[in-house]
Amino acid sequence: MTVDLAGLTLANPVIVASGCGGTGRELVPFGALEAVGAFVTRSITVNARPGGPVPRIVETPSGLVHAVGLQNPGLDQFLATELPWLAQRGVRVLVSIVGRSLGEYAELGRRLGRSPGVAGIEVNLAEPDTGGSGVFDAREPFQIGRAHV
Amino acid sequence: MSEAPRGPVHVTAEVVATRKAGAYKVLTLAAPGIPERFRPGTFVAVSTVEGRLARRALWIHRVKPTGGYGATLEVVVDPVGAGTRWLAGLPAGARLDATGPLGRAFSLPKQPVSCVLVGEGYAAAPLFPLAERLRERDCAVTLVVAAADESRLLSALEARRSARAVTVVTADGSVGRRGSVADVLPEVLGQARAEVVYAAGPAATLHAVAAAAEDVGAWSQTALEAPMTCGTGLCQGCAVPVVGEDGVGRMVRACVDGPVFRGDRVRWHDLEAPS
Repeated sequence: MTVDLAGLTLANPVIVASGCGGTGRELVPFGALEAVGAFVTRSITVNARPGGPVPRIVETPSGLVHAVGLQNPGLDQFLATELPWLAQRGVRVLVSIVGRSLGEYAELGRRLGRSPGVAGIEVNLAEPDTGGSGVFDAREPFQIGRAHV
Repeated sequence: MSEAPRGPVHVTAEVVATRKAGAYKVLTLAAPGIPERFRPGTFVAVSTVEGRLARRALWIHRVKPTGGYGATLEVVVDPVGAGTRWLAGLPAGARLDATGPLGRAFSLPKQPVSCVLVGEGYAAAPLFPLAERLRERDCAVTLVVAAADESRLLSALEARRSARAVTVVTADGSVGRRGSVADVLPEVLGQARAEVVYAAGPAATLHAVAAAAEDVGAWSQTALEAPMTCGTGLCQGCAVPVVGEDGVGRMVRACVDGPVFRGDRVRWHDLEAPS
């Protein structure tokens, strides 16, 4: 069942998508985290973000509409607590990142890129700034290209 | 002392009985593993009708250790939306996915102290098993049950068996005193010489309880009724603004960090009127 994902070898093709597994700890009562091919973290920003007000998630007849507002502990806290915990579990960790500027993307990429336990980085470009969340506006293909460089 | 099983389980539950309780429906579920782990204040998250993704968090009202179906639990459903109406319409024999017990339970005092329990609407459900546990510890239990009207008053008769004194309050005055929890609580807390106040209900009521407890120097533990989409902490949908032990404000989750919070830790104004 091993798969090759852009040079990264995963034990199986099941990847927990960003946000769908929380910090990883929430899944542990219900199954072994290391059984998945890889775990993508919620999106991490340079500084901590408290997230938006409730209601954050509303059910509709065809699914869920959500606006959590990128709640996360910030890069320092993530590196100090959440990442080591995930690394100890032996799960392949892909860190999702989102920045307010190209400089922040660069900082997130640089510091995570040299952190042990990070198998890869996912760049979150699906967060339009219409809600004033202050994230880098990556709706134009040109800017998406710049964030990836 | 034997170690009780811990942690939630995910099981297929079977509805073994249903009954009406005023405007509510009480479902008795055979859900192996959940009753054994139950502590008052915890809840169960259940799936609903096909195609609906959000789970419904239901207070566990009562557990029975033995019976024809083994251990069972009772949950109270208020049929207000598509999911809860579907749940309320389930016949005996129906099956549904259930995860529980989830959340942090009420803390019990080590000393036999005077406790006032305040419940509004169907959220009064976890207070009845709590009253039993408190009485086992020789605590004096005073109950306040509140609701919009008589049909939404949970187990008023049972309340009289569970507590030393019971105050019933309805917004329309259809039974008991007319008014709200906030109207009667200062008097009740004074008469009971309350040292701990336990409450379950909507945020505005819990805010009033926390404030009234603070006024008389009592501890308050408040069980927050909030929509909990996943019930397990991962979706971050049930954010509650609190002040931590370190005095720093942060967002926590009602489902795993609660639903029971210390009343003096919740930033009630931020919760009731988010910016």
